[in-house]
Amino acid sequence: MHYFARICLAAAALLLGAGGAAAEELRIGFKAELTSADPHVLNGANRNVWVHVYESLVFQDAQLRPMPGLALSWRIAAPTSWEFALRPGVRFQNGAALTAADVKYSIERAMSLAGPRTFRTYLRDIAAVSVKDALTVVVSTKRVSPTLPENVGMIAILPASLGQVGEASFASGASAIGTGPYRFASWSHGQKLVLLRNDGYWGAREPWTGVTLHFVPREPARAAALLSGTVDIVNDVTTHMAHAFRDYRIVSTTSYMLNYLSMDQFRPRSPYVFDGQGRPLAANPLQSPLVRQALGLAVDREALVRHVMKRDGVVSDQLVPRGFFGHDDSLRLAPPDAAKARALLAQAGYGAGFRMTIHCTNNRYLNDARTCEALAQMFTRIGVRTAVSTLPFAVFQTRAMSGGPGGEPEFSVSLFGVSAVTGNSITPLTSAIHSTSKTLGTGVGNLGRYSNARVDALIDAAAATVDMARREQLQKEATALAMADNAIVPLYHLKAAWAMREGLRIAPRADGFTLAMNIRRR
Amino acid sequence: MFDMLARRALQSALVVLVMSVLAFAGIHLVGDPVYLLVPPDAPQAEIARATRQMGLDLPLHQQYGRFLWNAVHGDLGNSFIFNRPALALIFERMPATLELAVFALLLSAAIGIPFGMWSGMHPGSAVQKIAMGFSILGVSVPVFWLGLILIMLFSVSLGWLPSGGRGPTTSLFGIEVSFLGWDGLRFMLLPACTLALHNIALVMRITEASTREVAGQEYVRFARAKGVGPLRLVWRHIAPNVMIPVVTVLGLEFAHLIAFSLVTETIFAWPGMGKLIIDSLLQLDRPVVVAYLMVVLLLYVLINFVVDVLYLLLDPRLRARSA
Repeated sequence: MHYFARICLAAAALLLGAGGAAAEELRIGFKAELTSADPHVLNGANRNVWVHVYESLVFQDAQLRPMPGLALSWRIAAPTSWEFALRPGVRFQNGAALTAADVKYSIERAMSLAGPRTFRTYLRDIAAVSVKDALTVVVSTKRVSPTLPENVGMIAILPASLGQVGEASFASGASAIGTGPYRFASWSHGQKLVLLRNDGYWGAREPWTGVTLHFVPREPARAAALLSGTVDIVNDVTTHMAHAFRDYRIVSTTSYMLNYLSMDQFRPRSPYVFDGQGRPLAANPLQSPLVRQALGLAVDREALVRHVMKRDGVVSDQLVPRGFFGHDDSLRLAPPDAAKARALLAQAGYGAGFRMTIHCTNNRYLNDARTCEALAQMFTRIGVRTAVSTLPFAVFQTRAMSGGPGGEPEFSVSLFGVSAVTGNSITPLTSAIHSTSKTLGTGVGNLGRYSNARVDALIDAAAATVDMARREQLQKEATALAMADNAIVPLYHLKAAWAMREGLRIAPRADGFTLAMNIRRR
Repeated sequence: MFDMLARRALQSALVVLVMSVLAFAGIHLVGDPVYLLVPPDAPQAEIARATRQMGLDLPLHQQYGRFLWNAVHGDLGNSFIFNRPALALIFERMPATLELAVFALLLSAAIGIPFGMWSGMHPGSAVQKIAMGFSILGVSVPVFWLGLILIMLFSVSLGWLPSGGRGPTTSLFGIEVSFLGWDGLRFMLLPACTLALHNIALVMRITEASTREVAGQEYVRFARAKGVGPLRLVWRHIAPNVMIPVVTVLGLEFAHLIAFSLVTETIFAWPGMGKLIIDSLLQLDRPVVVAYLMVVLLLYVLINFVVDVLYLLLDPRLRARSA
C-alpha cells in the first residue's frame, strides 16, 4: 500500500515537474470567521484576511511600526496637514493605475460608511482629503495629529471607479479589486475563502499560486485539521494543544494584547467592596494609594504566567511589550511581597483586611476566568478576602462599561484587555490611563476612572507632538507616572502562536495576523 | 379535520407571537451590542451614531413594534455583524444543517427500526442483547466526545475521512447541497454518524419496547392463530401500531437535530445554523438570534403538524373520528 502511494506521489511529482511550475497551494486553518467582504467594515479578523487583497498607504512591520506601503513617504506639510507621496507603478487588479483620486475615494468611503462597524474612530482627526497631483494626496486634520499615518494605514485602498458599492458586490467578487499580492476567488460563508495569486503585483511575486483560509473556530477542530493534513498551518495555538503538535513546528510571539486589573477610584463607596462581615464599607479602600500598592504587590505575575497561562503570555510591567513604540526598558514593577502588602494595608487602616468581588470575562481572553481565580487567592493571602464572578463577554462588557448608576462602570475590580493596535503605547495610554471623557473618547477602558492631571497633560502633549523621540519620551514618562500611582495592575501580554507542518516557516507578527506573505517554505 | 387544523394553526400563531416577545425581551436583557461593535476607544458621538443606526436608541416596546411591523412584511432585520438580512444568513446556512439532520434521521430510522423490531420480536436473542447494549452506550456517550474520538480515529490516525468542514456543493433546485457526490458525502459521514448515534439508540429502544408490547397483544395471537403469515403479520398488523410512538419520537428528534446540531457543527466546523446562532449569541447579534428562534419555532410547528398528519394515516381510529 505504502509503495503504491509512493509510486503515485512520484508519478504526480514527475507530471507536475514536466508541466513547469508546480501548483503551490497554501491551506490555512483560521480561527475567526470572516464576517464581511467589504474591507471598510471594521473587524480585526476581517482586516487580517483582506490585507491579502487590499493594501493601504502605510504598512506595519512585525512590531507594528509604520513602514512604506502604497505611500512611499509621508511628511507634515503644515501643522494640520499630512502629505503622502504614492508609490508609482502600482496597478489595481483590474489593470487601472493607482492614483491620488483612489486614495481620496477610499478614505472618504471609510469615513462615511453606514452601520456600526466603521473605521470612523481611527479617522476622527481627518477634516478633508484632497488630491494635489496624480501621485500626491493631502490629508488635512482638525488638530495636530502625529499618529495619522498609522491610523490611515488601517484603510484599504480601492479604485475610485467602484463608486457606490455595498457588501453584496464585494462578496460576489465583482468589486473585490485591490492592489494586493492575492486576488479574491471565492468565499463560502462560515466555511472558507479562496485567494489566487495576483501575477501583476507591484512587489515581489508570491510563491503560493493559491491560498485557502478554512474557518475553524474551535481549537480541537483546528488541531485535527492540521494533524490530518487538511491544512498546512493553524493560528491561535495554545499550550493546551502543544502536546498534540509534538511533530509540528510551533512559532510564537508576544502580542499587543495587555490584560490588566482596573480598580474603582472614583466612587466614595464601591459596590463590590465590603467589610469582614460582608457589610458595605463607609469608605472605598481602593481610593487609597497604599491599598492599590498592596494589591499590586500581592500579584505574582511570574506565577500567573508560569502556572495559569502555561507560558502563553509574557509578564508585563507596563502597557506595551518590548519593541513597541513607548516601551520603557528601565521600567520595572516591584516584585511580589505579601508581607509588605499586609503592612501597607495596616498602614492604610485596613489591618483586619476587607472583602471584595472581582469580575472577569470567561470567554474573551485566554484563561481569563482561571487568572481571576488565581488572583483571588493572591489577594486573599494578604488579607483581602476575594470572591470571583465570571461572565460571558457580551454580558460583562455592557455592565463593566456602563452598568453602574449614571452609566458609569459597575464593577469595583475587573479584568480587562487593551490592545496597542498601531504598535504604539499611545493607544493604551489614551484608553486605559487617561481621565475619562465621553466626548473625546479618552479613558474608555479606564474602568477604575483613574485620574491624574499630570499624566493627562503628558498624554495630551504626546498626542500632539510630531517629533518622534520627544513623543516617545513623553509617553514613557506618562506610563511611569501611572504605574507609580498604581493606576491599574498590569498582568501580562498574551502570546500569538502558530503551528505548522514541517517544511514551512512563518515570520510572526505582534498583531497575531496570519499572512500568506509571511509564510514560506523552509 | 379542518376544524382540528384550524385550531392547530391558531395555537401555533399564538406560540410564535409569545415566543417573539420572549426572544426580543430576553436578548435585550443580556447586554448592549453597541460596545461589541464599535472600536474600544470610540468617542461618545460615534457610539450614539451607531446606536441610532441600529435603532437601539428607541424604547424597547417601540423597537418591538418596529420589528413586528417589518416581520409581517417578511423582513426580520439586518445582522449587526454581517451587515446582511438575518433571514438570508439563516437560509444560506439552512441547507447544510438540514442535509446533516436528514442524513442523521435516515440513519437512525434505517438502523434503529429494523434492529428494534427484530429485538422486540425475539427477546433474549443475541441480536436483542447486542442491540440493547449498544443503545445504552448510544444514549450515554456525550456527543462532543464521540465526535472527537471519531476524528482522532478516522481522520488523524487512519486518514480516511476529512476532519471537518463541508465538501464541495452542487446546486439542486437552486439550493446548494453537498450529498450528491462521494466528495461531499465523505465530509458528511463523520458528523452525521456523531449526530445520529443518540437517535439510533433512542429509536431502537422505543421500537423494541413498543414491538414487545404489541406482539404480546391478543389480536396478534389471534391473527397468528388465523394463519396469517409471519411477514404479513409484521407488516400489516404489528408495524403500524409500533410506528405510532416511533413516528412521534422521530418527528421530535428531527426538530431536535435541526435546533441542537450546534455541538456537532462546532466540532466538525460544519457551516450550519447551529454555529451561526452560537456566534450570534456571543456577539449579541440580536436580529439573527431573534430570526433564528422564529425560524426554528416555525420548523417545530411544521414538523409537529406533519407528525399529526402521519398519525391520521397510521391510525384508522383517528381518521374515523376526524372524518
